[in-house]
Amino acid sequence: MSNPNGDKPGNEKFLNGLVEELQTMSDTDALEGENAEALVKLGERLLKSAREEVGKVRMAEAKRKLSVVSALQSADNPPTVAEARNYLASRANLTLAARGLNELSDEDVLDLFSQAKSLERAADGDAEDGDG
Amino acid sequence: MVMPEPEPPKHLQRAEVDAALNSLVRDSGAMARVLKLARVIAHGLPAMGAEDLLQQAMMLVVAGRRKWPRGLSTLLMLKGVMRSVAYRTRRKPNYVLAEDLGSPSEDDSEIESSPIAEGVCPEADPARAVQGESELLAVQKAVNGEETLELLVEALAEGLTGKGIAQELGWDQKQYDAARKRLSRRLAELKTDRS
Repeated sequence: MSNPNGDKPGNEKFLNGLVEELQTMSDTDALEGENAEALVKLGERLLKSAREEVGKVRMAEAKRKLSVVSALQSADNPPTVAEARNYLASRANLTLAARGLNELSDEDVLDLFSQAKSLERAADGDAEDGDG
Repeated sequence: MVMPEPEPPKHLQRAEVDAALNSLVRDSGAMARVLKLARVIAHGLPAMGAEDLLQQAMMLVVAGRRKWPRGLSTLLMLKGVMRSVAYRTRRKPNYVLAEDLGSPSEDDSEIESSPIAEGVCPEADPARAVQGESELLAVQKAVNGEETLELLVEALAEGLTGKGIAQELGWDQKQYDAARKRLSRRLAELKTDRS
């Protein structure tokens, strides 16, 4: 008598036995009650969807890592005052600040630059969320 | 002096996993087997059908979140992963698979270190074994009233397989094959919440 499952609980023995029965039966018996053509289509669809979902998760994870690296780089390498002024002057949507840019202290320019970068990152994040 | 061949990695590499899954979905017989098993495991899961369960298992395997021990059949591999997903879904109805795909969790290391022969199943924890009774019960209900199939399921639950079943029940090969074929049909008809 073959009893390879020893003292395992009934449910485990049943599942292991069921797998063995499924593996050893003919394809004809395994396909009993199934539509072979539909099964292949289903399998291809499920695998395609699975790969797409994993791709999306990987992409989101990569973007998140990039944004962290970018934020760290910004903190590690603050711009010069001249670079910050040039950046702020180039932003069309910062007209109020740009108008008075020459009157701002160096400290205020760097602070404004930092705020503008934060807003930019937040806007990028919102756009990504909207895409998903 | 002849250098010994380097041992292959303990787990399948990404290309090998891709190839194994491609082979599975192109083979109607293999798909029939895995889907029948998925119906049994998904039975009683809240808002998750066999196809959802199989797809989630595929996602974890594709993402490399469940390592595939070399030598383990596709059916056994997916059995283990589907049971793991089913267990989490029962434990946490709001379980979000995407979180599992992101970063490693404690459960992953537990699953990955499971013995090859058992696939990747969560039976080590008694609480899991208790919740898992629903799988056997699902099939018992499906065959209720069909004496031959009730005997076959009971024999499987006792750990018998193949010729052992035929000997125990006093069946000849023809009777055993016929019973197994009928069980296969019942598993095709097994309904889940989402089917």
